Amino acid sequence: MNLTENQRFIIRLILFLALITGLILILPRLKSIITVIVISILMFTLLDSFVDKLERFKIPRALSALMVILIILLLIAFGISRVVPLVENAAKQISQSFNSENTFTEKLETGIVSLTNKLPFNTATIDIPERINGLINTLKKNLPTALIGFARGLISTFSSFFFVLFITFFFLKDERKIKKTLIRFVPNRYFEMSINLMDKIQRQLSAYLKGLFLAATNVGITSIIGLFLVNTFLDAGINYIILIGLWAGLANLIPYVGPTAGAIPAVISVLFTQPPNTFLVVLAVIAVFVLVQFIDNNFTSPYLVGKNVELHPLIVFLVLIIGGNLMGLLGMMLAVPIAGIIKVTVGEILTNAPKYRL
Amino acid sequence: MTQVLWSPIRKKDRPQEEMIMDALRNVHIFKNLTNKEIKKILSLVYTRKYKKGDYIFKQGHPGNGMYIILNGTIQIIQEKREENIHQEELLATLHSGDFLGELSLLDEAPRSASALCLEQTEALGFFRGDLMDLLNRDPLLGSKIVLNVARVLAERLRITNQQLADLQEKEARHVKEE
Repeated sequence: MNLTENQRFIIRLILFLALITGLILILPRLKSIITVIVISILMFTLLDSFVDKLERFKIPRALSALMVILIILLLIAFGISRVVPLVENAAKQISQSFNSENTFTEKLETGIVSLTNKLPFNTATIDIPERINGLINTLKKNLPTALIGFARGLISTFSSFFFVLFITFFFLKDERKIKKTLIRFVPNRYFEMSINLMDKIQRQLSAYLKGLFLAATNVGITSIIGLFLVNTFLDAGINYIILIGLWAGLANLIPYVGPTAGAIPAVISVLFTQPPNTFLVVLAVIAVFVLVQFIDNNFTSPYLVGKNVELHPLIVFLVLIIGGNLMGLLGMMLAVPIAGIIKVTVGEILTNAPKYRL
Repeated sequence: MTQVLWSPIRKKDRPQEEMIMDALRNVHIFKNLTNKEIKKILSLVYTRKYKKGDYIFKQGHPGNGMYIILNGTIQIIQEKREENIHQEELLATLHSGDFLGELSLLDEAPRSASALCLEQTEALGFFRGDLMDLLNRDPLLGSKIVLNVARVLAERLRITNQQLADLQEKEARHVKEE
């Protein structure tokens, strides 16, 4: 059957639309498995070079992959065993504070009033006690349950993470077999180009994800050091410094929102502990997070993550909304790395594919 | 006679893996590798089947790696475009056991000629990305291969130098005679 150019175009368009509709219908049902696979691919890209390094010591690939996975598993189990009691403890403390409502409200009220009195503008028109009461009522209802939910969520996330590690292990162990199998389906015409693109994309992605991971670790560690110094020199008594640092590092994966989200628990902790110089301590805590962000934005991230993966703020905003809508907080944290991966992939294809005049 | 009659059948009977390992052993960049090391290379190479008229690679495409012909015949053709005149020059015809493109293991310089299959061909591809990974994972094996590639380069450079010296001598003699 001889088809005209227009007929061929219409058939291709219909097939393309059918494929898109099919994907839109099927994808939501496969959301959880897609999430697991996407996270496994991210983990594989991040861990591949560690397995390569172990192989240098003549350790077989499978054993190297197993060792890396076991180390990750142990680190996570250790982290959770430390973090969960901390969060639960914090939740209990908050809930106890709520029960002795007057002391808590008074504490917070005094904290905020002493803070606002120091401000250079007039805040007398704001009815602070009423606002605080409103805030307390909302917090009273939601916060302890949310924190306990978060701690339990961590445990259930850990069990789904087990599947991620299981898949990642096979990706790490059989990397070459998987690559060979995929390449087998590529027609000869595109074979060299595919090999070249796969190699370049994998290298870029690995560097990008390692950069993101190191930048987040740096934010976490510098936040912990900063808060520790505030505690030491200003006798601030801020609790859960390591937890706050961990959160600041994780939150840093969410651009614009992350740095503020990282600072909030530290400020709340100061308002709770009510050191004698609350205003100064709050200022110092804010200064710590500003400094941490300054170091991250100007020194570590440009060096570790690289300017070539920089995303336009509008794109960041859009992917954050999409990620948040699809998968909540986890989606927001994964949104920028995934957008970065797409940018690297498209960039490599656009740079290298034209060199192959097919 | 018996040898001639039975060898293709024996060859066919031997497992594909053994045949590929033999092919690899015959390539000078894999010479002096142990059996274990050759097995490691085996996990990195891609076996491809080409139809008659297929190009393994084309002139001008970024060089990405080398090929070893397992069976079949290919022609190395160089296109020349001078003042709207398009010419094709046959540089070489390669057969089973021959290899090509080994210098592409070192850099991405464009291919200087195209490789066209004259019949159904089976070839092994070994690529730069995998060599770089190998240097990372097994530096000893990786450096053995890189050293062998360097030897090929050195040999070619020596030949080129000799040819240049011969040419200069010829030209000097020619000038003297005039």
